[in-house]
Amino acid sequence: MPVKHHDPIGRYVTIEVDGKQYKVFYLSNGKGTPLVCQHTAGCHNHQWRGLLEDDEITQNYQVIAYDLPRHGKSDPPHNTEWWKEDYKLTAEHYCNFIVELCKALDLDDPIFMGSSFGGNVALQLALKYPNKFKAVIPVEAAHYSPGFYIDWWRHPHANAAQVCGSGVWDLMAPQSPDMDRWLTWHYYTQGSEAF
Amino acid sequence: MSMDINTWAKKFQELTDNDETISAMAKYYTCSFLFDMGKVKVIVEMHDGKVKNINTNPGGLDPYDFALRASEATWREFARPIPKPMFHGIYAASFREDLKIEGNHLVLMQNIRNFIVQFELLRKSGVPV
Repeated sequence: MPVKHHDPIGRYVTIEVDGKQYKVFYLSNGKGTPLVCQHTAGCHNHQWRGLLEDDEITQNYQVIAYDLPRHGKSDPPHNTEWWKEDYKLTAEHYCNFIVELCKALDLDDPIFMGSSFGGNVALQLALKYPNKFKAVIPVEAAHYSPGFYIDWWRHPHANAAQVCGSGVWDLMAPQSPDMDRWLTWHYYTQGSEAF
Repeated sequence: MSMDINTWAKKFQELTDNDETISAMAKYYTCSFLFDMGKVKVIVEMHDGKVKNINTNPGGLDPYDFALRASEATWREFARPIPKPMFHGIYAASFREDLKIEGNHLVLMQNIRNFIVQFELLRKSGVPV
């Protein structure tokens, strides 16, 4: 099989949000209107792998898929002893992060797309920052979710990676291609601490 | 029409023991679980990824680690080649349908990866209800 080089490039940008210093990783490809993509909780920007290399989309949009801090290649904050705190992501901090990231990347009138908790924050951005985005696309979003804590993800006697991966199995339709289902499972085995 | 329980048990065992996805991570897949399908109850005993025994007539004191209990109608939905929404997984069915997951949940969570793969084999084996 011949070697294939792909177009998306990866880069880091350091930003400060509410006093926290984040080194943020993102993948980018395409030209045109910025399309900023937020992955689901506990996952990372590989969820957008198809979009990043879609010929039709990348002809008209610059797809920017970032890793939220504590996900994928974006570390927890580099200026706090985060290991001494319980991780809680507030809607306010989440919105502030996205706005600061778009500002740091100098994006002109971007479209924001987010899935699951990314969809929820898309609605928050539309409410709180309507002038900073051309549009928002909430994917599998909810305007309200009661929320819950899933202790099994942190149980020291369970395989947290597999609990996390298998916990999202039902979120995928059984007709979905096996490769895509298992890739999602694989990504989630990497994100159990943040999920 | 439901199949004979022993025919089902043989088929489910064969499917499990020959499943490549389970075999890829078989070591330590050791636990036992009860499928409570109403009139029919079975205890599946797993050892290192293979079926050690399927008890098709469990007594009151026969042990198991955890149990899945649901109506016959729900088990038949689980066994469709492509289940209807909310019957397509144990989380969905326990949140939205009448599936109850009881017993030692820790053992289920320790074996969850292989268990959900094996549970989906019901779509090939059918159910004896």
